[in-house]
Amino acid sequence: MTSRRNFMLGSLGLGGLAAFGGLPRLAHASGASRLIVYFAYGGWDTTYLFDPKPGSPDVDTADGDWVTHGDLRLWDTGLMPRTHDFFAEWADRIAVINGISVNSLVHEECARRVLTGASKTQADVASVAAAALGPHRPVPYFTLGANARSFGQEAQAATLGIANQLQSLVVPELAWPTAAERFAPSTAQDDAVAAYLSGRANQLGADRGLRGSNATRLADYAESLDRAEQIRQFAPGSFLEDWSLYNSYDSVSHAAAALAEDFSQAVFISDQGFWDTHGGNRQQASLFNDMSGNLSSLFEALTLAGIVDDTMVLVVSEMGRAPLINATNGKDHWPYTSAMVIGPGVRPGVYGSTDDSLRQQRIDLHSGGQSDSGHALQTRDVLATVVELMGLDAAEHYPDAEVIHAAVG
Amino acid sequence: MLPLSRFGSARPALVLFLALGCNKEADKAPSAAASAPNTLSPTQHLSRASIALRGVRPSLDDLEKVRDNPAALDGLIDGYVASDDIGPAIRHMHGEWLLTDMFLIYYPTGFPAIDGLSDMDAHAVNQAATEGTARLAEHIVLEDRPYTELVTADYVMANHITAEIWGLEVSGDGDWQEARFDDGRLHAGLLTDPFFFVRHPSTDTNRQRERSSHMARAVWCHDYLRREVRVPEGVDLTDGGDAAIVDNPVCVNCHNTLDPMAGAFAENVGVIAPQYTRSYPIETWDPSLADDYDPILFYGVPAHDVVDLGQIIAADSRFSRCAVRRHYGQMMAMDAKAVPDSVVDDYLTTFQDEGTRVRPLLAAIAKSDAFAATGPVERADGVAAEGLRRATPWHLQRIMEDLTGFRWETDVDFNIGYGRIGEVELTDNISWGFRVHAGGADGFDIWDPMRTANPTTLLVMREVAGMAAKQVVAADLVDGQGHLLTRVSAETTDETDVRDQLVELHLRLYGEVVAADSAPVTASWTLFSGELDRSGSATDAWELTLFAMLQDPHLLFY
Repeated sequence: MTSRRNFMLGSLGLGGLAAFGGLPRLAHASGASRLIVYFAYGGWDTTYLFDPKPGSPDVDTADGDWVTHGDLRLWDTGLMPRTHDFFAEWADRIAVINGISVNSLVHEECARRVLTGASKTQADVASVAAAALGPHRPVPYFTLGANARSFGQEAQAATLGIANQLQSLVVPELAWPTAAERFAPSTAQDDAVAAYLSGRANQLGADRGLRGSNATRLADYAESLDRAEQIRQFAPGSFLEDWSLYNSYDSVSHAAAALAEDFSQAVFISDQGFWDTHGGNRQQASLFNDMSGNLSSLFEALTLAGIVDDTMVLVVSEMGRAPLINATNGKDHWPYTSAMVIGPGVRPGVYGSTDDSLRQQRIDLHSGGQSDSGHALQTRDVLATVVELMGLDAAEHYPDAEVIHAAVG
Repeated sequence: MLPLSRFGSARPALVLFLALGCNKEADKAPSAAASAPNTLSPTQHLSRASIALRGVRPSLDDLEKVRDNPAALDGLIDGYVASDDIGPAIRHMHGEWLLTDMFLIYYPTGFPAIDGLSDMDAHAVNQAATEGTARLAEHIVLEDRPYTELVTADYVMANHITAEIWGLEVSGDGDWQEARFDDGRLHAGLLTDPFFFVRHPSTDTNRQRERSSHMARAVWCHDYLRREVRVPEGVDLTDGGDAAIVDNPVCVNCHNTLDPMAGAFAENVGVIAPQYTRSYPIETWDPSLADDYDPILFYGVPAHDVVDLGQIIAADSRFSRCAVRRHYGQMMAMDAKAVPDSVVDDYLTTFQDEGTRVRPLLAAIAKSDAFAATGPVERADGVAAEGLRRATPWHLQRIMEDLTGFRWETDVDFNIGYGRIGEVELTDNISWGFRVHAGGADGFDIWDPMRTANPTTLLVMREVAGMAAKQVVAADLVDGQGHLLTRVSAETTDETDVRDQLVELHLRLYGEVVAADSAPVTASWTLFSGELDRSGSATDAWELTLFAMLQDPHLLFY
């Protein structure tokens, strides 16, 4: 599990914010311009919190009781105090969306659908938002988890690495010791090398031609060369050279720092819990509890950095878990999931629903309530709602999707 | 319009690139020349073949032979294919394809350095544990045996490390060799490979379906996991899907072939977490587990046991088509699933006529016009080849070590709980190094390597180039080892002499045949002379020049 190191204001280098580009460009006066996708890979049991079915013989629900946080009516098993602490503090900006159909039972496929809206070739929603709102950042899309998908936008993305390797890559003092001597070029030498590499890239294009993927790959090379230099220049005084962060494996603090310091416009975080509880389903309680602790730390950090009102957070798992406990006290895969959309402009509430057997029910997109003549929620609808909340054109990015208007304040 | 840097002026690369009129929406329509693609020069073709087949650039001697006599090209490719130098590339390809080349520190790896391995570093233990699966393919190819042995081999590959882990006997020096379990289990190559089943687990309720699925993807290129299945509204899954997979047409569509194969793997223990092992060997096999499985079927064809299943798969055309698809994809640096069927058809006859031996297939691909194409080769049913092929971190590490002698190593003096990690190469390491940053697959969440450039790849190349440049200059100019700087000394500053050296470097590094007064050489000379003017030191000038040349896009794209 990640450490719980609190995000330190001092490590943000806030004094450098103005020098590094000032305020982010808002696409919509009331929308958030930054996006965090917090992904609970493995499949969560929605009945532990979002969508319990007490009294239903068709669904095994952990013992508990209903509890209300603002406009949110959720399930309290008594085993997840940090979860309810989180909701108690942030309920006024949380939309819970239930009954999202993923239409698959396979982790990888479900993850693709939940994060991209089902496209095999499209980047995930964070990458989409980063490209639209943050191309001027050194790394528009910063990924702290391997499930992120930046297809077609690879030159705008960078990953931290499971051992925070990006930090050691640009701050050699953090790197594992090596017997080799490093070459430390001066600025003038760097400029000369950059000119050489640019010329050679152009030579390659001229020699091989610029048709099809040749053009794409050389354009990516040119952009990557530029961004690599931006990353190196960004590092001094930034979170990238923070020794305590480097040793923390703390995704939340890295993510908050990357956004606060304008290194990135969107961030992808993978929860570190093992959610795929085919056995021992009661682990779901501690998984929700730990994840909620991370979310509390995340929002504390965003608040401290002064960007909480400019940040949208999507919390999602790629599938739900089956209604009934199996022979090994676990629950198997289920093709309906829930999500949380948290941020400014969100109308708090619980939208979408499932029946007493945990099957999706259609909803009225304007009220968010169950409606037999309504819409069957798909993953792309959630993503369209997120980008709509961020002031982007949902129809442009997710043309086949419906916005859940009820969740948009 | 691409973004411009907020740090001073826009980078020259971007400006010049856009000035060429190039953008991501560039013309993608097939050209009239699509059926007869423009091809690389013979030396560049040789370089591409060497990288694809061996993971390294050709020797200077080989390049000069082809430069002086282009007809020598095919013979040199044949020589590469015939040599054991293709072994690492075969192993790399299969590790990536079977998803067994992955991080080495925690589940499903994390093999502890205990018992007979207690004097070893944990990294070395886990490297061996995960390599055995791909070593099977390498062994078959290097021994020139039919590739069908991948599913029929009556042995597993083991060395002294994996022998300890799995409970096998190895002879001699304990190097990689054929070995057999003596506990009664059957052997059928990949179908009974112990690490494959650790890597791809199965829960009790999954009932070996995931393993069946991964085997289908690996051996006959049928990817159940990627099928566009929409679970129908109203389908009853409350019993775990037991009824639906029999009664619901959508479910039956996959399960009626997936499930009967799963029975072949039923004797393998479901989930093994190596890091919790307290003594070796690890028990991966238990025949009692198979008691409640249905008879084995391969698309309706009954199999008596896993050995019989292997024979049936080997005789099925899907196996050969998949082998062609995989090897072609690897040679062309493209995703196997994107290889057009017409291309598979073209090479299938060669493959089958040659008794499913891989070497002739590789040679045929490497000599083809499509392989040597400078731009995309389009067919009616898809793109048969891309123009620029992007080196993976595996390529970059091997190329750099071969060219310069530099290997980016560190000693991870850290015990993760089951042994000291030990010596690790960083460029291509997932756990401690930069494979993912440099665009590599991680065998778990990232199944395919990146085919284009990204910022962190260029940062990795910069880091490696800097250290390698300093090492080369010290070795070649001070110690006279002659890796790359074979024509100059630390005192050489004469332009003609330096340009002669640069001509040779362009040939060795990029397969480029260029004149001493050509634009590429002048670009390198400009770097050299500028630094010489500034520092007065040829050594400093070569460090800077090599620092740049070892990051050249001609090394990233081949």
